[in-house]
Amino acid sequence: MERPTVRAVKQALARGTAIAGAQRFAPGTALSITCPVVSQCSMAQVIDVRVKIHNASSPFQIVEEKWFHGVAINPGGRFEQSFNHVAVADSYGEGRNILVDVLIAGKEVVGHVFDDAFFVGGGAVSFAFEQPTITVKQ
Amino acid sequence: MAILWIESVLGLPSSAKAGTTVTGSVFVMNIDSFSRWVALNIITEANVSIDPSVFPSPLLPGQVAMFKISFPMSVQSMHLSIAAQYLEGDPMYGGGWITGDTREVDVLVEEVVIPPPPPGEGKIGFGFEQPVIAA
Repeated sequence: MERPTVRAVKQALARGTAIAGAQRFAPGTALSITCPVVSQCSMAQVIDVRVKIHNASSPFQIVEEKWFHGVAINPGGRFEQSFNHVAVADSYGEGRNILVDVLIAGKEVVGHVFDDAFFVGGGAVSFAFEQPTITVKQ
Repeated sequence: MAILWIESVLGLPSSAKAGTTVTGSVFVMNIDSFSRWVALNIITEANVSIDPSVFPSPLLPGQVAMFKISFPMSVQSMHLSIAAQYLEGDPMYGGGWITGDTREVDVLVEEVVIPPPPPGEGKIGFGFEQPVIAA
């Protein structure tokens, strides 16, 4: 594995946005993923959008990287191009983070991490913990 | 035998911004034993204004003349070769201005730092909505 960049380390340490009600998919499931990006720029821009999917337990273990080059986007405009991804199980864990970066002229200008955007695996080994009940023994 | 001496050049900055007007004063002393007509001549690429270009009266021995100079600063550093000149003989009969002393002065152009334009123009910002994932 290549040595991660400082930016990648920062992103790994930064707390991303957790997705409520993230779905769990069986390994091998073909998925369609869309990561909408909305321009808050004051002028039209041509951007590159990079989407990385990595294991939540191993941020530098990139499962898939997808690029969308030369996206022209107006102020307030919206980019949402779906792409296909096959859920792949690995030994690092079931959670998958999605990292979306916007680049202008080859330079990263802003990015965002969605933690545990989805899970891959049967979830056979999974436990929930409820609040302990404490009573006084008579 | 020396006749003139450029005593000092005052007020000229060592550096100036391009496009600004640079001013200074040149003081020339007559170190001859006779009165002399004195003029200032500056060789440079700049369009230098000299006031007066010829001192209005003959300079007495030991007397100092002041010349005000000014020029627009170019985008390049300026090198001024300042020459104090005295009148020898009668110009009507082959006489003329003879350089008695020179002074070399440099005025550097100040580096103009232009902030790099942001990628594209104007405000840059993007919002990221929650990914939509479907089997």
